[in-house]
Amino acid sequence: MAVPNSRSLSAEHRRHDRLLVARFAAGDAIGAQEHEARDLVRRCSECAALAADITAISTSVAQMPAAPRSRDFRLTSDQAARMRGSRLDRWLRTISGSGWATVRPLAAVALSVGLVMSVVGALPILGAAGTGAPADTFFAAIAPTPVAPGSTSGTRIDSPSTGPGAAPTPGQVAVLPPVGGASESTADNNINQAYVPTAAAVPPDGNQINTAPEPTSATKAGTDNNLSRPLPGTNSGLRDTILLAGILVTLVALFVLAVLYAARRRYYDPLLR
Amino acid sequence: MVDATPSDSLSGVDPAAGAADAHIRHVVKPNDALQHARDKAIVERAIGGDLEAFNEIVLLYQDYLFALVVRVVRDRESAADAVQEALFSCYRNLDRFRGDSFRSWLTRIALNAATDVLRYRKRRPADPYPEWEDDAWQPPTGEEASPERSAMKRHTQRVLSEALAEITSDQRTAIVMYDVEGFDYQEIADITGVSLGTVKSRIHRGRLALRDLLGDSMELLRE
Repeated sequence: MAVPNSRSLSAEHRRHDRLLVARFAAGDAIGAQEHEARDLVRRCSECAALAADITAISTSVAQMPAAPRSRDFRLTSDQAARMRGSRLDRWLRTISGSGWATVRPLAAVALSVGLVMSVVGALPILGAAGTGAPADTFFAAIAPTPVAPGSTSGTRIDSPSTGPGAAPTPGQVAVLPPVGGASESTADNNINQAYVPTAAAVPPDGNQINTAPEPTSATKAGTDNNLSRPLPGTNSGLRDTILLAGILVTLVALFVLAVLYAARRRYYDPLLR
Repeated sequence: MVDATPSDSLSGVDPAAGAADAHIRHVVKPNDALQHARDKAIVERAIGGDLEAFNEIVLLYQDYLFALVVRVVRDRESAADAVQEALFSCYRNLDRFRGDSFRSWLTRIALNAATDVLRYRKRRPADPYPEWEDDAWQPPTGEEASPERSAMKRHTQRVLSEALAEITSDQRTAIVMYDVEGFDYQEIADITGVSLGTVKSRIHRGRLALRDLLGDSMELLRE
């Protein structure tokens, strides 16, 4: 068969799909591609030569002699001992492999959960100040404070300093402090209204006043009323538990991540990529 | 077809002895359940700390690995180093072997080692590309082969080797694995980590490139 070289290829053959002919020669052209390639090989002598050459190349490559190895690759016992390493080495090598790939994201999730638990346990979301003060103190701090009866100066009367005699008596009204402008006054008013069981009384002079909560016997005795108690289920014991658990989970997750990272850095084998 | 599974080399640790049947090993595709079962049994023993079992694996595959890698890196010394590294890595990570075909796993490691050699050369352009050294050895010929025919065959193989050295390493690896080592497309895709279509494309384009490179020398292959 006369086989033209690339310099004498006809213009028509240059438009033929050589890759298609190569696929056909290898038996990889199927369906419509096979019909098209078969047609090309039948009509175009250069395509036929190309297909024959592809087959010849494949056969010749397969018959190429294999080069004999130049050394014996068996391991000596010394090499084996060095390769295997200690028990710790083997364990670290194992965890640096892909079989432990799922542990890393799990540890990352655990770290996130632990951090969230730590924050939730440390912040006063569950009923205590972030300073670690007891929940009772926190609620006492945000509870409305009674004002000295008849006072117009706006001096607050702090609960701890007020004795039974200083507490407003039933029927008396507490005057809001004028300091801080109208907005502060309004805010305090809103807070106070939230705790006032009855409608606010309006004095004849038109000053904005609120009625103080009616003191209970407990208030008179200098102890907290119901408003300064923590919400149900938010005691400090639960908070401490969450905080401790969060810290524990965070530390464990950090440790696992650190070990995995160190093992991967030290024992990752690029040939296993 | 000659039955020349890698187990044939169990008794042939001598390079010269192994060379005699190395040239016919390429026509065999030793990929069957029996081989997998045999490999797994040996690997299990090797994982248990039996060095002799691992050396059985080495005896089974060292000829095959070297023949494959030397075609990819085209330098016998570099190929020997790559195979040695691959076998060290295999020994260190035997317990990570998953799947059916130990041969495929080992081939992947060896090809990664060969790729590292090629990358290293690329980073060091000052190093001259090593000459293809297949001329140093030829398969034994029968007594009936005439000197002219032997010389022609050697010339053909040298020309083909030089052309193979000119195509891209990806194409060369795919062609060697398919035509020489007998892997199918899917196995090559699994081992090299590319898609089936990419493997086919590399093989077909590589053959086209070989034909262009061979030019008038194609006449030698058409006989």
